[in-house]
Amino acid sequence: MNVKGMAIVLAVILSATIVQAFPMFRSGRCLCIGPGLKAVKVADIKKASIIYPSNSCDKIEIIITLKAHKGQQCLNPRSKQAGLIIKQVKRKNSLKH
Amino acid sequence: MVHEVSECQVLDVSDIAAFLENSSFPYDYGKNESDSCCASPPCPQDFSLNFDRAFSPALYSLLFVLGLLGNGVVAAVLLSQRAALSSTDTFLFHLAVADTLLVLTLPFWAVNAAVQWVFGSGLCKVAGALFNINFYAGSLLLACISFDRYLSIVHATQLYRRGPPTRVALTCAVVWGLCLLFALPDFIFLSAYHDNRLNATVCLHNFPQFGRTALRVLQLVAGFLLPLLVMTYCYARILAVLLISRGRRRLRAMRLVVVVVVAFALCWTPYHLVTMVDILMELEALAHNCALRSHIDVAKSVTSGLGYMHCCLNPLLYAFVGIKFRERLWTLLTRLGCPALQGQPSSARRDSSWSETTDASYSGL
Repeated sequence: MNVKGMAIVLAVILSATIVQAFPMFRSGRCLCIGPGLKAVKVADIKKASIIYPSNSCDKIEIIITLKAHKGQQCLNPRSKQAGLIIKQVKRKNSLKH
Repeated sequence: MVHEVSECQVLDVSDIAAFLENSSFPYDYGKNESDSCCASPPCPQDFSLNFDRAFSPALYSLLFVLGLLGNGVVAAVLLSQRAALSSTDTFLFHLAVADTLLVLTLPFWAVNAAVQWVFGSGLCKVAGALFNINFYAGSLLLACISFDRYLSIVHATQLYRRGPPTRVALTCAVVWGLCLLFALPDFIFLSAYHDNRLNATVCLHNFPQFGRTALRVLQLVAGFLLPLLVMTYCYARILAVLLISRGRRRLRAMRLVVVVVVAFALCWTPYHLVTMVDILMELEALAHNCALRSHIDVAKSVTSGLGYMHCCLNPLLYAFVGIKFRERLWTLLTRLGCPALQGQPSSARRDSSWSETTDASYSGL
């Protein structure tokens, strides 16, 4: 019986070694829910923001700000339009440096 | 807001225009998708962050004061004893120390919630590690207490009573040593850095989201369900024994046994339920929308606050449920010379009459 109890205590101790996530260390989360739009009307695009993966979200996210206060939309980063936007950003960056 | 986020790259109108001129941009197929039927707006965390800014500092301040006072009183009462501490009392003393140290880190987290992490990487590592060390120390000591009581009541073998007092000290040293070991990842991975989604400096483990989700699953199983299982098992066996041998003192003892387990379960169950829902949403196993996500963000703050409340609860439990604790506190106050208390009836009962039956004195067992 003693051995059994000791085993339980040991199991608790060992399991605690693995546990390392606490609510104190609050982080952000992904801003886009779901896959996002495949494309938006180009004439409506006011601004395109690309947020790269970080500790708070594994995904690359593309947020389009629309003209005329139509709000913001998430663009599916796998879509063709997103690919073109990312390419354009990279080109712009390489010109800068 | 999203467009103010730094560390992300932005294309503005002129970029888009230039881009349209010299590329074969397929802008015709987007017409239908941009309608309101297929809207996919981003889901900012502003609501829960604003809530946190008000709620967390208030709660943490309250817990700071309550925790320091309560655990300080418990430590003072224990140390005021002339006789050597029993094994359970020793664990309770270490528990009070662990709770006090944990509570001491709360002001840092209050500022973190109100503004952002302004203390730099060094203090992030120290405060984070201290928080975790004492979190583990608290749960391990509770496990030690339940195991100690289980052995002494159910098996009538007193692990610590007969041996030299160094055995208890050794157990406590092992507990603290293990907690230091558990805190190693904090010292290595915790750092203060700028998060591009929160647009603020955070004090966080520097590894990716996937790793954190996996750890949260483990935390749910190992950090909550397993300790609760051990406590329930130990105390259920104790209850079974106590129910057979009836007596007023033992009935009183049962009350505290139940209260201790219920307090642990009540404080941590809501947080782990919310975490479970959150994990399922993150894995997209559960249907979700922005409103639901925002509710979960807020629920996480509230329920984790309830969890931290557990470290202020132990002194209150002993004070209200443990009769012997009240008696000793009264004795201490009279000895300190509160004139108003002079002449009040103090404990008529001798300490030895308590320790005879079980080893768990403060709890009123």
